[in-house]
Order: sequence, then structure tokens, then C-alpha cells
Amino acid sequence: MTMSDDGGRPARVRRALLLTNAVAALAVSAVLLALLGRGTGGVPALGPLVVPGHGAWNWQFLLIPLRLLP
Amino acid sequence: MTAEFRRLGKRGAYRLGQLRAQGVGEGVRPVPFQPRFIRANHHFPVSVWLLGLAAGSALIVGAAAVGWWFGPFLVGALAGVANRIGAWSVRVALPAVIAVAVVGWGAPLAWAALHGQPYRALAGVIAAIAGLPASASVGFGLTLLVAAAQVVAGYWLGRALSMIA
Repeated sequence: MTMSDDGGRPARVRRALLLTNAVAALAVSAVLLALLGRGTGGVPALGPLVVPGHGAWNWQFLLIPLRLLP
Repeated sequence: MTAEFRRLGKRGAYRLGQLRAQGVGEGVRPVPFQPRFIRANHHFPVSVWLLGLAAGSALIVGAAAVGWWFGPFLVGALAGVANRIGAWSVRVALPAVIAVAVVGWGAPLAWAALHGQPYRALAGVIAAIAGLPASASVGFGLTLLVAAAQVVAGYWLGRALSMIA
């Protein structure tokens, strides 16, 4: 069985952990970007809403009637 | 005789025969072994990495200027990949990238607020739209939280992908 240089774990186990970590990171990133970009339920898409200089941080946003907001 | 008994077991009670009388004291105690780790090689001076962090903040500011709300995520992913070279520990790198995102989104807000934009009112509106108490501090906090969450997720993804490459 091949041992890794740094972790002390077998190389196969270390490789599996790295892959699991990458898949988890990919999944969390996708969910986060989807939530921020599209919103969910009663929560609006916070990404475009809170980006500085745009969205709600544009002072003209105050002129939009609230009923038209997402 | 009683005094001799009282000295038994106490330090200095035994003269170690002739050696003690000749001035040969106790042997030097061995120094406990203290493991030391090799300092990580960051490949570049700290100043270069700090410059990189400042560039990351500038990128986030630029992305926000053109409306790219996912700028902190992209910069976080770049930082995660770059850390493959720098080998900074997560305890150092994660607060650093969070600071980059907070500066990247906080600086334009602070700049505009100082130049008379009605950002306190807007922050309250943002908090209300998100279903939170309509407070300016909540609106500012939510904005910075969105930036921090993005940069952390991006950093995690960039680091994870670079480690399997």
C-alpha cells in the first residue's frame, strides 16, 4: 500500500478525501450562487440586490414602488 | 542521630561519597526535546502577498462597478488557487480573503456614503426587502455578509480543485 508523503494516510484514502472535499466545495458553491443569483421563496436574489453601486445601493432604487420589487 | 534521620530523603543530604566532597556537582539535566517544524515556504515575500490581496480588493471593486455581484466569489477562487503556491494555512488565508471581500464591497459603500449618497436609508430598505429589521446597520451587515460568504465559498472551491490537480 502506497503511503503519502505528508498526511500519513494511504495515498488512495487521501485522494478520496481530496475528491470528496472538491465535490462538497463545488456543491456548496453552486447552491450559494444559485441562492444569491435567483433567490428562493420569500427571499429575493440578494446578489444583484446588494452589489455596491447597483441594485438597491443605487439611490434611484428609492424611486421604484415597492410593489414592483422582486 | 535524630538529626541524621531527619536529613534522609532531603536534597543535599547525601554527599555522593568523595565526588561531592571534591566539588563535582550534579550532572547537567538533559534539555527536554522540543519538536520544531520547518517554516513553510511561501515562495514570495509577505509584501508580495499583501499586494496580491490589495489587487483582489481592487478586482472586487471593479467587478461591482460593472454590476458583477459574483466578483467576491471569483476573487476567492483565484485566492484558493494561488494559495497552492503560497502554502498559507487556512487560519491565515481565510481571514485575509474575508478582509479582501469586506474591503472590496465596503470601500465603495463608504466612499459613496461620504459623498452624500443616502446610503443609510438605502441600507434600511435592503434589510427590509430581505425580511430583516429595517435598520441601516443590518443592511450594511447583510451586504458585507454576502460578500464574505461568496469569497469563502470561492476560496474553498479554488483550494479544493487545485489540490486534486
